[in-house]
Amino acid sequence: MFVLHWFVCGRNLRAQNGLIVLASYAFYAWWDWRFLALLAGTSLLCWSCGLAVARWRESAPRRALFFNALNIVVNLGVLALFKYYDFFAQSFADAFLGGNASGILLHLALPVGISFYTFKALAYTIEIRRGTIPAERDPMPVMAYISFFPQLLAGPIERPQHLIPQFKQLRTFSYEQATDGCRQILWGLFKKVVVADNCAVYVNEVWDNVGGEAGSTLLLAAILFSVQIYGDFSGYSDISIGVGKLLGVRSRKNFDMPYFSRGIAEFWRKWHISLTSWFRDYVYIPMGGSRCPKGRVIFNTLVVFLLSGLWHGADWTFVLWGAYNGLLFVPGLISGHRPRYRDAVAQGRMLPSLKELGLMLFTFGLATLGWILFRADNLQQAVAFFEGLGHLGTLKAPLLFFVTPRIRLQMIFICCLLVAEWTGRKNPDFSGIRTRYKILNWCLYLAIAILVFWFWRNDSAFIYQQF
Amino acid sequence: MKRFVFQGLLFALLLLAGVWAILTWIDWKGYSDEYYKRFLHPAPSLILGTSRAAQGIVPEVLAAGLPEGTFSLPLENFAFTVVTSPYSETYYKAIKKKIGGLEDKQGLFILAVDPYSLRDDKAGEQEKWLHLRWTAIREPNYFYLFRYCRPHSWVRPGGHTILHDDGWLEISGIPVDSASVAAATERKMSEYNDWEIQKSDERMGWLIRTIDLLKVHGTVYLVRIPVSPQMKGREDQVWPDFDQDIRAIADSMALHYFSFIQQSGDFRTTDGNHLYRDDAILFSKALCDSILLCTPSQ
Repeated sequence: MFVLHWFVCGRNLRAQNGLIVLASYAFYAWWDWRFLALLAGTSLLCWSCGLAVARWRESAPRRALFFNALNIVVNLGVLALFKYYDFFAQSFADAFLGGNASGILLHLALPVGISFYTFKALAYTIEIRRGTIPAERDPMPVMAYISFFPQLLAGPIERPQHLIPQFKQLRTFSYEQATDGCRQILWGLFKKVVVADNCAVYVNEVWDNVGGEAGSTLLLAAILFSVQIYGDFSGYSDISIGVGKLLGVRSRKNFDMPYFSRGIAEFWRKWHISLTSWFRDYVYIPMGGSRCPKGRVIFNTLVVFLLSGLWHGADWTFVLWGAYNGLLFVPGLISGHRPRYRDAVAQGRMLPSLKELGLMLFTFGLATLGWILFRADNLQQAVAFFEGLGHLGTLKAPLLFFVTPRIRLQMIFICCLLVAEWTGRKNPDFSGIRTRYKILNWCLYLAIAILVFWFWRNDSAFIYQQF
Repeated sequence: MKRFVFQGLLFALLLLAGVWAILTWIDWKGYSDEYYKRFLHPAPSLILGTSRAAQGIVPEVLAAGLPEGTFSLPLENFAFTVVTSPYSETYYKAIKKKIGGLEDKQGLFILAVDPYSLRDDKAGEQEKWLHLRWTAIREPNYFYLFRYCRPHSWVRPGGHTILHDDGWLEISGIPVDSASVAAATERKMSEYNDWEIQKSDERMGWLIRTIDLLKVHGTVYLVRIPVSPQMKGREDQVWPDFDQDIRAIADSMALHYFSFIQQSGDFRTTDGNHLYRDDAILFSKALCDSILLCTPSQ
């Protein structure tokens, strides 16, 4: 792809975009060819509605609204059908039909990446109606935007105003951008393969036997899952962004070291940034955002987090997870005490203050409790996990980090991740370990590559791919 | 661009060298999974089938029991699992690679058969396991090591699983008291009872093709390994004419078929399906005796 993009199509914009679209569709077909038509249909619907919205935006706003709504309703309808129909049908059956849903379930397979590319499609016509971007006469940039293969399976959910302009000008090769991309891919693979997948081995074993594990083991598994989900998802985002850079396409970062956050609001400004900002811009702010009476703000916040939970999966555990995170905002909203940290933690210092450390650990703890709901297969399992945590033996958990042989090696990798990201926290373009010495960099990158090879598992998948 | 491509190639070369060094070290230390040793060198005599054969037939015992010169040695166990090596095109091609370009005509080929190795598997085993499909036979087998032998898949010294150099998969150190075996059997039966067993004409066809291939290189015997009474009961239920069907093939191809299924229960199993290590040795001796009775004395 790299060779074709730069050596064959490097001087022709249409060829570059055509190659990206072709590669993206081939990539998608390799995962699941059955839904290629759906992807193409979403792209074309979005493009044609975009043209209609732009056409009528000034002269017939209601007509523009109609086409915007058409794009939203159809795309959300398709998403709802594939992702949520069976969930709500089963829930309805559980509530009113004694659990017998055999006649009403559809058992539809979930198209890969639908949650991600659908949201990109919605953003396109919304932004055209807002006047922030023009409608594209040429469908190619829109198709490339929606199906861009590094982002197709698990995001980031890029905005059209950021991505589409890059598909409208010839991309030229940049050595710095390409090497930065390679570095980011390698760093993403380290987080995913070396850190996350190794955590997953222990975490999955514990979760397979929730009822029979000691509280300390459960707590250890909860903490490791927090690390796992971060390594897995941010690792994927890094790989995705890095691949984009190799093709001359810049994407916005999707994670900004969220576990260094000093409060839950800061955490959600730094975790899965593309999704949280999407909900902020297209749901929260149109509902009134924070420019409302306090009660309304709380309501808006809860709605956004409930929807965010539902976006992640068709299960009550995800809804509860969303509600839990929304409720964490309530004390701050009621009291009005909502510190907005704009600078990096421990700015100008090597180490955090005790207060900052306490805040980071507290925020990490809150997030970890939420991840228990996220990880649980069902409500019963989540309840069993929390019940298991409520024993005094749970307090022994920190010791397990040092006495459990399998965890000791994992601790080294987690510490490496921690140190690397801590030292890079002030760099807004952090893309992986980088020192001032070229030889040292090469040694580090080779070591990381070999570690990735060493721990690679053929059966590994990305957590967010399932959404 | 040139600088990037040059540095990229250099990095790739250094990485390849590093990976090669690691693979060589893995091979030298003998760290591998429970299949690797079977992909190292061709062999003139083979034991084939699923995990029942992988664990239940001991090449060393057979080879020791047969008079010297009767069959070409070494005898290797090239049986895998019920989902990866039922009789099929993939397994056929892998067997062809395993016997290699050997001109030997005095091979000994033990083909273990049971309803599961000849069932209609709609999911298709070819999609499940590319070890057999793509792996060549060579030593050291860098392709196999690169693709499959990471620490998480290693058969560790002191662990329950030992892959012998002759391919016999020995499972030891697991509880074989009656309660543990009963529990393991129940789990195995529950798993196997979920499988729909229908005779597969396609798999029967591949069994016949495999026999045709191997007859050129030596003597072929068909064997049905004994299991637990519960497993036998299940097999009788899903394919009651299995022995007759296999005997018909054996008769038409002038082969011997040794069915030990009526002796199910006489040999201990670990889970109702796989012979316990010591009983695998006993069974292999019994099989050896059966072969000797049919082999003309020299």
